[in-house]
Amino acid sequence: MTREMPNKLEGTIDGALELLDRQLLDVEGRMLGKVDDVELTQTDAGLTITALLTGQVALLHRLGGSLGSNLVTGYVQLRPSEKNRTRPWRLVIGDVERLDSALHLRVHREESLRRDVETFRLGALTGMNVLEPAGRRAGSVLDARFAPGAGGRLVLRALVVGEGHPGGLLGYDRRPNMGPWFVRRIVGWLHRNTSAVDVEHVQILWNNREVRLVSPLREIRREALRR
Amino acid sequence: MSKVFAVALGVLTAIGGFVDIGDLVTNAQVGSRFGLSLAWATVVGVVGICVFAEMSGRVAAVSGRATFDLVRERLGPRVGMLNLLSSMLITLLTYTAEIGGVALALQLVASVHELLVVPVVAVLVWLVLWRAKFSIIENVFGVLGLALVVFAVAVWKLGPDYGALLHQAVGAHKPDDEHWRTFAYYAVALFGAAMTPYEVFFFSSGGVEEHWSPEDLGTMRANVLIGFPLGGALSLAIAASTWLVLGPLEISVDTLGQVGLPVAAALGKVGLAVAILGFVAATFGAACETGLSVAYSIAQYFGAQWGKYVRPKEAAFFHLVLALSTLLALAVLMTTVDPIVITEISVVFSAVALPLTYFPILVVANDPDYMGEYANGRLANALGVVFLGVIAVAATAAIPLLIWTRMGQ
Amino acid sequence: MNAGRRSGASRGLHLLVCAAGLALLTACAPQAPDDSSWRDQAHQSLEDVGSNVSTMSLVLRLAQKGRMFGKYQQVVALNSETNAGRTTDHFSGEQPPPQADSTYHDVTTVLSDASDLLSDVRIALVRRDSSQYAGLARELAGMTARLSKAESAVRR
Repeated sequence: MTREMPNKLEGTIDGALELLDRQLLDVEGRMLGKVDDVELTQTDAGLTITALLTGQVALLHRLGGSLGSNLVTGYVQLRPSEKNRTRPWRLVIGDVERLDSALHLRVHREESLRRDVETFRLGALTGMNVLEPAGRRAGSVLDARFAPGAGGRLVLRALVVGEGHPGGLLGYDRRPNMGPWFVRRIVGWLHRNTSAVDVEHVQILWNNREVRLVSPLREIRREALRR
Repeated sequence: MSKVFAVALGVLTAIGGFVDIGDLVTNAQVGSRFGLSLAWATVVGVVGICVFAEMSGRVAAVSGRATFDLVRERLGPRVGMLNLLSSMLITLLTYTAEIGGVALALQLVASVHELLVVPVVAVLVWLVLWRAKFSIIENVFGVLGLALVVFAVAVWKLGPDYGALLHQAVGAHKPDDEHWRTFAYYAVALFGAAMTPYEVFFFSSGGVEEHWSPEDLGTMRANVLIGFPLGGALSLAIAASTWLVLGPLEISVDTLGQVGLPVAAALGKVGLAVAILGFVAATFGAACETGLSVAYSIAQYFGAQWGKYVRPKEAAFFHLVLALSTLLALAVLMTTVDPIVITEISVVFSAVALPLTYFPILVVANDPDYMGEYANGRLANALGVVFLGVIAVAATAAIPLLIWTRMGQ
Repeated sequence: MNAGRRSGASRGLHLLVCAAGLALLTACAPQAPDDSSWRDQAHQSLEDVGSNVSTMSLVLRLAQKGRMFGKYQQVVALNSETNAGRTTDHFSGEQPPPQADSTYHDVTTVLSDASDLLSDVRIALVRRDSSQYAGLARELAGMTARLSKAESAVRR
């Protein structure tokens, strides 16, 4: 029906740009929701993508800031009798077949969601302040770069650090020649100081909601943003 | 014959964008006061919507993703929510107005009490949206809505000085007794009406409903290049007819009944009957378009199954939204508010919704991951950027002009 | 969250600037001293009712030539009458500035005469009383002239 596109899960992806807010399609092509957030779990290989999160709680958190937290609180209060109402609905990563313009699952939508655990989320990671060892703010986390690791699962490799909103890159950093020229120029200028920092140079403090760099930004060998 | 129906989607989309209840009265009003001196605004609007409808149609055909799906994906949930709220306000208000418009059109032929006919129309619209196949909806109302071509016939019958009309249109010669700020207000209103977001929501979702694939790009472009210019032509025909008949009498148009008077003058009862058929079909078609667009946008924001190409029980959320929005529209109309006033208010919200809708389309249409070899070429990009600029100007000017001219006085 | 708070503060500032800008623009809408805004309203009311009267004239002419359906002409006639009545009532309820009392009297007289005439025409049209049409058409033409005269008088 539509064009055959490559499976992006086999290569390096930017979480906020390519996973978040994507349509979820089950094995029969029926829609079941959006990727409202991505679950990250600390393993031996590093911070790994273990599940996709969908549903009201996950989405409300993504609305961000005090608005998001207040909405989640309101949501929980709507049904005090329900246990663990803050836990999001999860789609384990093993159920995912491919990623192109949407996320295709290998299961039927009736059997897909679980609500058992709660760990770290990509949505919480993007937007965190990035601080140098001395305490100076170096920017915020705009995106997170994942690459296939041992066992085929996607592992965190780098954080995209800069000023502005997560996902504000709109994909222009990944493709040097993506049009229109005018928009590409403006986005390039807005993100002239943005760079990708390797994960071994960072320390993610989930409770404090900040990321600490191991050494000052100019001393870190940074990946070029474009590939 | 099936070739005619192949472009029905484009025609129906254009009907909802150019000759829905609000536009019928606005075009008649503009014609009566300004003649064809604002034709350029309609033409610019036609080109703009063609550019972006082609892009969103291409994205739908190549990647299977409809427009609102992409809005959230590119702008994020927060800004996407802002767009959802502002687009919803426009589309829901327009849906309400269209149902009211069908009732108004029906009252021109039958002696029915307005409080009785409105619920009947609302239920009828909901039944059609729930039960009728998408292709039936687009074919029936797309073709019947073309009855409005009777306005062009009326213009021809009135035997005007075509040279003078052309001169007025090309030179944008504003009549002396009108202010420049009212001229500017109506220019912005006409352009905004031509490019209302629900047109691309409906067109791209309709493309997915029709299971368009890269092989159908030719059909998609035919839909765009036939449908929207036709809609624009109908608008101009209405404006010309009221300029010729109502303009000299200094009649200001604010009711649907006045819109048909030039046709009655030129063609008598037969022409009037065709015009009323056109009114009913156009407003009903626009009601279907806006009702479906409300449900498309909300379902596409949350990722829920949408569409009439699956059975209703497979898309329960979508049909629930349809039913609830019809109920809400009915509730508002039962307060006997004038549908035409509702459409004037909705203009305000387009200031926010227009830029937030068209910018993601431009970005995605360029994304090689989605589009591969079908990504935008230089021409599409140049036109897209230019029109994004025009949209930004119109969006900024809309509210100040609305206040300054007190809604076009 | 720090980032959230920072962008929250800047967002608040943006909103404030936008609200201030909008307020300024609203203030720039032509605000006039009382007398001339009342005159503008009088002028607008006369224009609106003039449009209703012209519509009614057109409907009557088309009815005489048999170019419309009964129901259609009924609806348009009724709409014109109702809208004119509403404009007249609304304007009569407006408080005139002291120096405009005689103008107020003149204008409201013209407006209510026009409304009454429109009612008469509507009644004749609904009754399909075609013998009345010619006389009523003349009266409507006369009313249009009266309304234009009143308009120029108000404009001063």
